[in-house]
Amino acid sequence: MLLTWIYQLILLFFSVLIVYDIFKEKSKLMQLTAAIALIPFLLRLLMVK
Amino acid sequence: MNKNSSPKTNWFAVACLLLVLMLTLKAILDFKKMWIEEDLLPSPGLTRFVYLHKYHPALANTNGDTRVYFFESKEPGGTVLLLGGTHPNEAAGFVTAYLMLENLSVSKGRIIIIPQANHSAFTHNDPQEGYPQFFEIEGIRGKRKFRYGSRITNPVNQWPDPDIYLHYPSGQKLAGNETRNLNRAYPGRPNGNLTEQVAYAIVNLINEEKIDVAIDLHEAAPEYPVVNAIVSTTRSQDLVTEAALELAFEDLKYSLEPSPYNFRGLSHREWENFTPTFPILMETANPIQGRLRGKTDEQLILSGQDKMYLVAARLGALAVPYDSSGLSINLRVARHAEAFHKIVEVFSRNYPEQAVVFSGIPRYFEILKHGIQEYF
Repeated sequence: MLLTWIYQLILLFFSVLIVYDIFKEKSKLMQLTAAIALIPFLLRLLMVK
Repeated sequence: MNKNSSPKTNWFAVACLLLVLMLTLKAILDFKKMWIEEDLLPSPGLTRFVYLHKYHPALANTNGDTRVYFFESKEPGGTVLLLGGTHPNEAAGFVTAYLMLENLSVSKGRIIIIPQANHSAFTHNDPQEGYPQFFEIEGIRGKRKFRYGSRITNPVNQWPDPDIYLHYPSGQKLAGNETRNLNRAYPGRPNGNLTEQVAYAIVNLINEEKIDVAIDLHEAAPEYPVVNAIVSTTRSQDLVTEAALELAFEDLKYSLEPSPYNFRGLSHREWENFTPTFPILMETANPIQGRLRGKTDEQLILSGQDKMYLVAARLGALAVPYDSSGLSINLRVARHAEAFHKIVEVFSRNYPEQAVVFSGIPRYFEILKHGIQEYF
């Protein structure tokens, strides 16, 4: 259980970084790419898949 | 970054985030559809059901807990256990268990059915294999939608996989993800991972309920050598051989496969080692599980018709006969049902004190004539 919480904290950390990156990136292509990369992080964070 | 471009860039970021949230929501709804249990409609012959956690309380409130259905006669006799859904991507295994659950009546002894042995593995599938999440059967009670799950426990329920799976208690080494394979987890252990705990509960059930014959239903790829087969151990060999001979008289060929001594974790191997039951495993051939298959969809589960397998059959690469009629779910369920009939008949004849007599389950030719939809 502790391992799951640590894992979710790591996922949350990277999700926040990706969201930050979406706003920081100047290239629209990179913004879109970062946004797409967020999907699996969210699915894992919510323990759906 | 100047004043004019900054707000424009942010609006695009917001749009990206909204798009991602919508896609994530769609994915969540899509995946979570598999968390909803299908309606199984037990026959009036059902006397009671319990949850598997009765045999290992730690399973309560986990996704490994599953229903155990009892069909009991007032006339004493033996007890037969039928397991479907050890691997929820082997449709004929669990569909046969569903068919029995919905049609069975027992007049002597007891039959216990666990139709979704690895309950967790029904809650996800293998999208990278192109597998559908569901398949439908147009039954006499309406359209029935069944989940087509995964071979192994949902990683959401059991993670992380080790690099190498060490089987308990033998120490046998297998690929890491086999740690989630119920048919590599027996005899299980009470403080093990979820899959090991499910295996432990099933072994406890076999011992506590004094199961005489335990049958685990499976399917495999048509190119795999152990198909259209009955696997038996030293203890169940005579019983299975007699049943297979009688099936051969009906022109139904089943190869007899010995349970390997040194391949640990398999249901039949460990039921032999840790329980007094007659352990049996049955396999039919299912093209959707094969590596040679072409188009992968719901229809392939049902019809078993595949152009690539026709080519493979012409090249002599398959372990079973295969032609353009395919290997339909009717045929695969019919084989499981007929072998079940025959094994229980032979057991009852050889052990009259522990005889089990039942009705309501169609025979091979009845299923082929009417289709499984007639029984759902």
